[in-house]
Amino acid sequence: MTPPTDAERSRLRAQIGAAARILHATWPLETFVAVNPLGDLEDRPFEDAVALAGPLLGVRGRPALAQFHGWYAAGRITDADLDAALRRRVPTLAEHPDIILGGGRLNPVAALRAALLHRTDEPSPRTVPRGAGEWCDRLLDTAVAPVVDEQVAKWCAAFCDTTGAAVPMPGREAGLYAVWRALVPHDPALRRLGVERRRFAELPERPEDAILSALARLRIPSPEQTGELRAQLARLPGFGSHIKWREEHADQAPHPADLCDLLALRLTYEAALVEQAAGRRLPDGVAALRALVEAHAGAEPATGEDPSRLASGLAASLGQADAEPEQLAGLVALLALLPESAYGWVWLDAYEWHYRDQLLATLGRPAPPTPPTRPAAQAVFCIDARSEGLRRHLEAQGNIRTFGFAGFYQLVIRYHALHSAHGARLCPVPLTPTKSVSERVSPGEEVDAARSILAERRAAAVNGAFHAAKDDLAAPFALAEAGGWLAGPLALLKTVLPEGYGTARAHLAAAALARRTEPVAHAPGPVEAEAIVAAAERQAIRAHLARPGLSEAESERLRRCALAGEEPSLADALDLGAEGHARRVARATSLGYDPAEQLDWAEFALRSFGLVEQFARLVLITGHGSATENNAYEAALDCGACGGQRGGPNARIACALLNRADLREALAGRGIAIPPDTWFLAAEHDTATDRVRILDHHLIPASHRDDVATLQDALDRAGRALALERAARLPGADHPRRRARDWAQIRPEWGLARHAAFIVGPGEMVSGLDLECRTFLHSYDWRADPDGTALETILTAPGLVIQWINAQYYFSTTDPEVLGAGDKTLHNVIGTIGVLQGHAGDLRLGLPWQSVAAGPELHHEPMRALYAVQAPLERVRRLVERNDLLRHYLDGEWVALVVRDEADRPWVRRTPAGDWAPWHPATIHTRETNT
Amino acid sequence: MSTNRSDAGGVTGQEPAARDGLTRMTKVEVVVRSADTSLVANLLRHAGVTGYTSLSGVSGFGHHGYHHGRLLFNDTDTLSLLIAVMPDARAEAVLAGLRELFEERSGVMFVSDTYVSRPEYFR
Repeated sequence: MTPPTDAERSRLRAQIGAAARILHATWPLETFVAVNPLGDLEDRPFEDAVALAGPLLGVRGRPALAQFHGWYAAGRITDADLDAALRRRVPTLAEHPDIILGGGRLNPVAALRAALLHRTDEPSPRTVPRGAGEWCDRLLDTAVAPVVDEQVAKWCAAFCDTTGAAVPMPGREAGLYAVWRALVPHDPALRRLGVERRRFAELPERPEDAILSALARLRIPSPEQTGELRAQLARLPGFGSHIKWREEHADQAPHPADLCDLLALRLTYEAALVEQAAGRRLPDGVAALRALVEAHAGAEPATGEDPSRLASGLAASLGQADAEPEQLAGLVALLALLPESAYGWVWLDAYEWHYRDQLLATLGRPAPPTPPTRPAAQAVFCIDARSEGLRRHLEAQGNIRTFGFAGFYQLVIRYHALHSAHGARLCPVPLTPTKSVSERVSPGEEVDAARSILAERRAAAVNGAFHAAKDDLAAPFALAEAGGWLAGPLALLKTVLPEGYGTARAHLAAAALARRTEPVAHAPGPVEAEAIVAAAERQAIRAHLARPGLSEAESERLRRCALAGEEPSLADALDLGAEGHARRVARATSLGYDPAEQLDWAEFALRSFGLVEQFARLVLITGHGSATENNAYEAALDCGACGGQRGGPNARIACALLNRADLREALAGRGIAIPPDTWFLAAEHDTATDRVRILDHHLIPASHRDDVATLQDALDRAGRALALERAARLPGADHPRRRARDWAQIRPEWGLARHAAFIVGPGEMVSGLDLECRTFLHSYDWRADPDGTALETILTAPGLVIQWINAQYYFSTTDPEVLGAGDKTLHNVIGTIGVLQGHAGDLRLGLPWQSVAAGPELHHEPMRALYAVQAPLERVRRLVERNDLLRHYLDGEWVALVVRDEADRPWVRRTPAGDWAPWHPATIHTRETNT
Repeated sequence: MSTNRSDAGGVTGQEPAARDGLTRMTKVEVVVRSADTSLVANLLRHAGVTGYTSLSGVSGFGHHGYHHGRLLFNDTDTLSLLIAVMPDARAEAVLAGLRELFEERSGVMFVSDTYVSRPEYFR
């Protein structure tokens, strides 16, 4: 066969790009980032995206009709909701004449509602044959596709696993296809498959060539190639999505792999097995099979919809079985306005607006007056829905005002913690860090800090041994040695007394966390950079010598000796030569925010959440994370705004900057006067326990310690109240604080389950309301945002992340078998990349069933998010018009948007057609329908 | 999709004017959604193109109306401009791939002749 041309290869790569739109890149578990599994189809309407990907992936993309009928029976969806949804779906219904059936007259809305209620059954999500192998199986009764799945999954798991395998796959740096091509001729499985080993020993060097060769052998016509590639990718969407992430984030992936590699593996097996199967069963082999496929593909059944049959059935169910034919014709004409395939979407709309109507009515109550006095404290929390409960309980403690803001505090950073060798991205995934911020030991705290860090490293060593034990089959026998003397007692404690173990580990961690450090948030000048580096080098000497108690003077003497070449072993071990030192100083000067950047950031941040006046003596800036045990999905419970990391460092950096006198002076020049007695205080909210830990105690001025103690009391009371409230929602009797420490606990917290809306507006809008931890809250005062920049950022950045989270929960609930991660108790973790259900098969997507349901009962309500914004409509309208992202989301009904100018103004809804319509709760429509 | 080809330094349809000491090559400029840049970059790389320049946050007015260039805290939802220079022999493969890509994704490409002083960088 003539080798393909470069143009053919290039065209194939573009086809793969098009085919791969049914998959979305999935981040590894360790940096869990919520994604919309259909995110690459977001430029299409939601229903179209489901229509394209659904039959390939075997998903419905919405709850089943039976589920909706259950909610209807339980009152979660009412007739009024259905009527309102029908009017939104078919706006011409208002002009449609009544239906006459027998002697009765039926309102067209009521008639269509009857049709919705009449249709209770539907087929399972349809799976079209996915690729040549599946067609072969269907037509010739073979089992090609599952065997290909098994082989491809086996190789992908071996390639992608970075920690689990005792003997890692050699040569992975060459890439997935290259290493597979080198190894597969030696795979004993080829004999079992009965394929010609020669075919696998003579594979082309380039994966494109392997794919084109296989497509030719399978006789896939050129116009159908993209469809074939898409179908092939749909067989193993888990590995496909992970490899797509590797392709798009090659800088973060340990070994190169792309979807061209994956398809080359897949199609090579598929061609070999299909040729073999067809050759045995059909005289003309693959050519005959192809002819059969074309005959059957053309004969695929249509939608199966039949309005006449439906009309007859409906008339009978209404007691009008003997209605006149012309009356039935009128009914048929009405039913034709709403295809049966759209019934599920109407039900979903009704289900969503039932909740939204209640929420908007709640938000319509008169806002409580803001106390004119200076608040005792102000507290800023992440927009995360879990913050809503804490804010509510905290405001109930007294004159405390709370705010919501994306938990990375607009600090787009890579953070280098003192105890960690690697920097962590602490910002949402759509952003690329533009700044690096490092932690340093606070002056005068060097010795205590060195002891803390040593303690943390010991604790981490124990923890690391446990993780290794879980990953490596041989490790349990080596655990006692690896983990040291601490491992045995801790394992025992962990098993018999979860809470006790948690306390013990927390004690270890607390010892480390009590270290006296601070982030270097500002850009240091040359002199300060020199001092910072010198301090870091003294710490390195203490750590290297394992002598945390070494005095500053003695450390400094050793450092100078090393720099002068008089301590060569120390200098070599720590790179303490003049060159290394100069490099570190140069790097230190590049860290942090310079004065102009600080000013821009501070003004933007404060205006974004509307805190520009009446500052309290204490302003709490709170990040969040979730401390759970033995939980592969732990990162999914951490801060989504921080890219699946804890948000404490961002809060510390924000405070370090806002407490700077020079920044405040500059801010005053921009109209934001922060009183000298205001102290910004960093904290972290543990969402598993609802404890709020105040950070950087050692930096708090003596003048504010009493205020801090009072605030901590209020936070403790609020946290206990919220933990009790959450306990009532969690199945089982365990208190949330005990669950968090229990390593056998499959549901340490509910995370963001049941979230349903994103509210953007002033704090008073939600103050005093119990929103049941179901809403993301972003504070916003349009008067403090003169040019609308803050609102644009809120809707396109936090708004984007919320949509990803929302879609992930939604699809994990509607299609748990394909777009959810399945039963957590059966999970087998593959290194740090994902989980399998059992010992083999595809990587799982989405969230575990335990994150969205308790037993068979759904806890999460699968609804697309409602964005409710209080801001001038004209501002929002202009903003939407110039943003593709927002237009796609709104026109395509990935999210819904309502806006009101002020608290006492009516809500206005943006329609998918791009118009703005007054919002009316469904009950108003009901009265119209019934009259 | 739209493809524009202009002959830099010459009248359309004629051989471009020679430039002393410079080597003629093909320049391909692509405007795509920033989220699609990795797709274009991979296509260039696998076609043997030795490098490209990427400009994010591109604003403009075109077929789909006004494109807002600056989103302060979202890098992925703006447009990007990728510029790649390559020998003519490589251009055919790149253009074949880009044409296929624009069958189902929005974006434009501009193809023109250009001159470079260090041809070895682009081969």
